[in-house]
Amino acid sequence: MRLNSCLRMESARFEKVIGPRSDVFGLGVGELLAYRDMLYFLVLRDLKIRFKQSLLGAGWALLQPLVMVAVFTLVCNRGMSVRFSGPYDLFFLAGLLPWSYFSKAFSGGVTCIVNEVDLVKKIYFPRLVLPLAQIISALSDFAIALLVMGALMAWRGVAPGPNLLLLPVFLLLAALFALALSLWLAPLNVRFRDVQIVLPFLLQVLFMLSPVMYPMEAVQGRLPPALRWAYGLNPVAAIIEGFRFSILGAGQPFAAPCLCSYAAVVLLAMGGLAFFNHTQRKFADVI
Amino acid sequence: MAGGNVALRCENLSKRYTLGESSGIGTLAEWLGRGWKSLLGSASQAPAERRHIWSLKDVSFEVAAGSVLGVIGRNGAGKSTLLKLLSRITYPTEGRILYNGTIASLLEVGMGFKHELTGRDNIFLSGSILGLRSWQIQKHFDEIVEFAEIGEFLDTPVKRYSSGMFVRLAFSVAAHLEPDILLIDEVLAVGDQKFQRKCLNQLHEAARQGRTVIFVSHNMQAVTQLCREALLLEAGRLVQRGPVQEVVEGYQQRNLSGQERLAVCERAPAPGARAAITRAGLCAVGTRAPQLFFDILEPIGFEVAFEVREAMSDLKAILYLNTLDGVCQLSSFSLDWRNYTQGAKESAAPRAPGRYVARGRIPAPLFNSGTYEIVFALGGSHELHLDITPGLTFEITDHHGSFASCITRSRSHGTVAAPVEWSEEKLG
Repeated sequence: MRLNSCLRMESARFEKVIGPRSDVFGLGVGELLAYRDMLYFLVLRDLKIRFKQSLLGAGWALLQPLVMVAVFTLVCNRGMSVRFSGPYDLFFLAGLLPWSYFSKAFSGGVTCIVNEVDLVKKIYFPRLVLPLAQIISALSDFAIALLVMGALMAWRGVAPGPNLLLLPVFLLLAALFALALSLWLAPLNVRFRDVQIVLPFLLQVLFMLSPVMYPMEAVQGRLPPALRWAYGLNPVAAIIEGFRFSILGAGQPFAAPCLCSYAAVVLLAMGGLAFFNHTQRKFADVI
Repeated sequence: MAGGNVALRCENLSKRYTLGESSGIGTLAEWLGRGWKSLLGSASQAPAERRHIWSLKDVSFEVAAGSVLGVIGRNGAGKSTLLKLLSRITYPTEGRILYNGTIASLLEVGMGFKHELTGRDNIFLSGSILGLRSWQIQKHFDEIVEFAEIGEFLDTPVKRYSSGMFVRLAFSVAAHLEPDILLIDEVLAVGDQKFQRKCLNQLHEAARQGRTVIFVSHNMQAVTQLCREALLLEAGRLVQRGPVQEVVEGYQQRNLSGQERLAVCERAPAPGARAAITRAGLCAVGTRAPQLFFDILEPIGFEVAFEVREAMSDLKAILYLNTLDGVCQLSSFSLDWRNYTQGAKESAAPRAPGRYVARGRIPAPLFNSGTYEIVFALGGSHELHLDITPGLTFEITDHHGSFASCITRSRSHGTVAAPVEWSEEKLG
């Protein structure tokens, strides 16, 4: 009895323990908060490097959506006559906004651990900072594309309605989905570089499967009912619908399959967090 | 432990690495292939393919708060693994680490530095990666800049910095960390002598402020200067713990008896080589016993055996003695001695095929205490090097303080230790 209490006192003298087993459900919020400045400076670094040594700097982020809109309007609207009420360029850009953000955040998130090999092997910090920094710094291009959207709407004389208030919600969903996928795939990429090789291909397929250049109804109308449901389960599709709904007042982001996909994103993110927390302990050994 | 104020305790700390295919990067196909094989029932083969190595095994120790502990041992003894575990870069397979306060580690300088960014940006970036809050960096900002001596280059991208400036800036950020426990690897081996002294002072200061410092190094000089206590690791196990002088001596003893450490380098000549070194090593003068530690007053003996495969008109053995940062301090050709003693200026006589051995000694006192590297080579008439050995590191020690500075009792500056003759007279 006496010995027991003695032992308890012994271990009570230490605040922290590093042991062999991981605490999968410990989110490390405290640690993450302590390193929030690292997150800030990493994002700042990405922005500075991005704009420092390129001739056009922020101009690229401006030019890309403009060129995409011009090309797709030419090809899809004139050439393939995609049917849509209202100007096609607005319709397309409203879908391109979340897509570009998602694909940039996602691909950054998947490769972020491998890209920082030196840091991961040489120093401790909550590894979660790396994917988070990617998700956040992808917002810079998004913000510039949003300006393009605003300018285009002003030029077309289209004003956004009160739905616009929902835009942050859908943006958050896009960020959460990119983060969720990164949390699952970044650790896999540490172990198997196949992931980053397949990534561009994966994004291409996802681009075609998502209603960026065509309206969701156009595809769903032609699919058998079972597939129609399955198509709606793609969170990217639901998020794009959400953006169109917020900006142009068109689209159905609250259809049943869409709602299911939002729930799936949240579950996927929670699972991803546990998976990432568990696997990050081996990053330095495996990378 | 006396006082009962323990900052950190390791209990049976062990770390196992898996060698071979399953150790790391593989392609998905390989992994799936393994899974498939084990599904088919050939799983019994899988464990045999994997080899494990205990990079650290059952290491237990305590560190008192405010003390400076040295960790020494040969390459592969587990020093870096210990640091990685303590700094949470990787996690133990068994055992645990208990500690109070915060741990910061400095395993390499320049962590997180981006060459495109300015010195100012990098101070904040690197500082935040090291775990500092931005107000903490702000608070020390002027000190960091001053310590690094970068002055007007603060807003220049660091890619334009000289390597010295880069290293100074990188270390300065890290030197202003304020953790309760500071882990340091070999990083002191950077920069010039003056800067190294500054770094040592900074560490002394950290210890004086009650921080606990764990210092891993190959440099016995630095360990002896900085630490009172040390522990010695060998093949992943803790073999000695005690006052630094004893442990350093223990380390040297073990190395003298140890066969593995390269006091001698033996090599099989490459098949097509015209001439090759088969054996090269350091020894006590007059014996052939391999030796790695020399007193500052003791001449350094060496022996090079080489094989000549085809007749050559001009072949000489060459010795280079470098500091660990690769600066050549001495180069000597096997002809030099004869030319020096006989006043001759001749080139080597034609050499018939066969096996040769050259012996010699580097006089003492000549080099100051420290760790040096010696490289042997064969030179031809046209080729600079027909063959060159890997570097053998050895140490010159000054236990008796023959050349220690009389003021600080520590190592005097420079790589040369010569008995400079002084005399003084009173003029009035």
